[in-house]
Amino acid sequence: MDPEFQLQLIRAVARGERPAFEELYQATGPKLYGVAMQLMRSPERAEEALQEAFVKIWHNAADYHQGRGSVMTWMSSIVRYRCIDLLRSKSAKEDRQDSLDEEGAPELIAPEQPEDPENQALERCMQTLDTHDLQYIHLAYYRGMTHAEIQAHTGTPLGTVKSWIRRGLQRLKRCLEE
Amino acid sequence: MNYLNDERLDALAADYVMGTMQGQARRRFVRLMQAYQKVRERVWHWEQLLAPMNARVEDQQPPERVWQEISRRVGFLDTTQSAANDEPQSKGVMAWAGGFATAAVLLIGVFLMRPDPTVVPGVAPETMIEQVAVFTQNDQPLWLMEVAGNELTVQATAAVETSDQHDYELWIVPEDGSAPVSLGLMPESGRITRALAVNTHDIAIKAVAVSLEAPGGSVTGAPGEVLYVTGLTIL
Repeated sequence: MDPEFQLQLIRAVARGERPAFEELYQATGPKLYGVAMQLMRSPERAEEALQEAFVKIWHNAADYHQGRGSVMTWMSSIVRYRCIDLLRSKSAKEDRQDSLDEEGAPELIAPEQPEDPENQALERCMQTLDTHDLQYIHLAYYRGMTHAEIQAHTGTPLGTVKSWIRRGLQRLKRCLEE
Repeated sequence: MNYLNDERLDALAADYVMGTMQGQARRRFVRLMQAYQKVRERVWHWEQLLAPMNARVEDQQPPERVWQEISRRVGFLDTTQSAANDEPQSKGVMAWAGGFATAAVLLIGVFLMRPDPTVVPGVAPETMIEQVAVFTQNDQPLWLMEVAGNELTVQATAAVETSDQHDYELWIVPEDGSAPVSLGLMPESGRITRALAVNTHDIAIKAVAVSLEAPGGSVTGAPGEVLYVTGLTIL
């Protein structure tokens, strides 16, 4: 969806216009549900996160401003933080360990020819990272793993996990800001 | 430790956005974000740097029930049905509000004498405050709430207990005994202004209430544990 149209929609949502909210949900729901499924690995918990995120979006639409990036960036951050909070909650931790090893989670797709210049830059910069840095960034960002969970999952010492992620992110940032 | 050292701040903001920062460190960082624009901007910068990673995630169509549940929770669906479903909790709030006598809103004078709020885009500066309420605990103010036109502004004081394990939600309790209506989440610090999803001027209001909810707000559409109730004073 055109970012400019999303901006019009979020401004209408901030004024309390319900049709705009529904249109925004219909347009962005599939991407945001994909993001939530990637992190939560359970339809039920991904639905819960998506619902709570959209309730927050409805109530906080007036807080959005362009300093936050595109409307989609703002909304995906809300969904991600909601998922992370749920993943870190006590009840989720109990069945978290099982799901970490589960197969069948949604696959990541690597767009062959991303149209968006930002996506092109990210793809290019990702290729400059060491394999380990990239793998650990993926485990943290897409699977919502903590440093300790990555340690348990990969057998790499905690300090190494932290420093590789940090190093990878700083390299990514330098490359993207060039 | 100097949190606002640029390099350290950058690393912390990245940890926060990645989700690898957790527990007490995450709560402390959220408080820093609330206090410092510089910290917020660093977080926003990382959110924007990493957001294109979401392009790699395949879209998935959420089930229809997700939209239905969102609609119910933000009050789009038939409130009669919602009230029936949530009857036990609604009754609890009504009992609470029933016992509530006219609030001694001692702080309204202070509230109204504070300097003019920052002008919010889209709100005419001359918009007059029409309804106010102050939530207190042991005579200590927690939140100051005002309604001007279609805008709700809530200011949290330092006395509000913050946590990322729960949220506070604001409700109006209608005079006619119908189910409480959510006005959204309360800030745990600072000040928020947002458009009201319901017209508070058209409803006879018995009281306003704050409930304790799981993060994100009530999942049932009815208040959870009601912590504070006060009157909404019409100016």
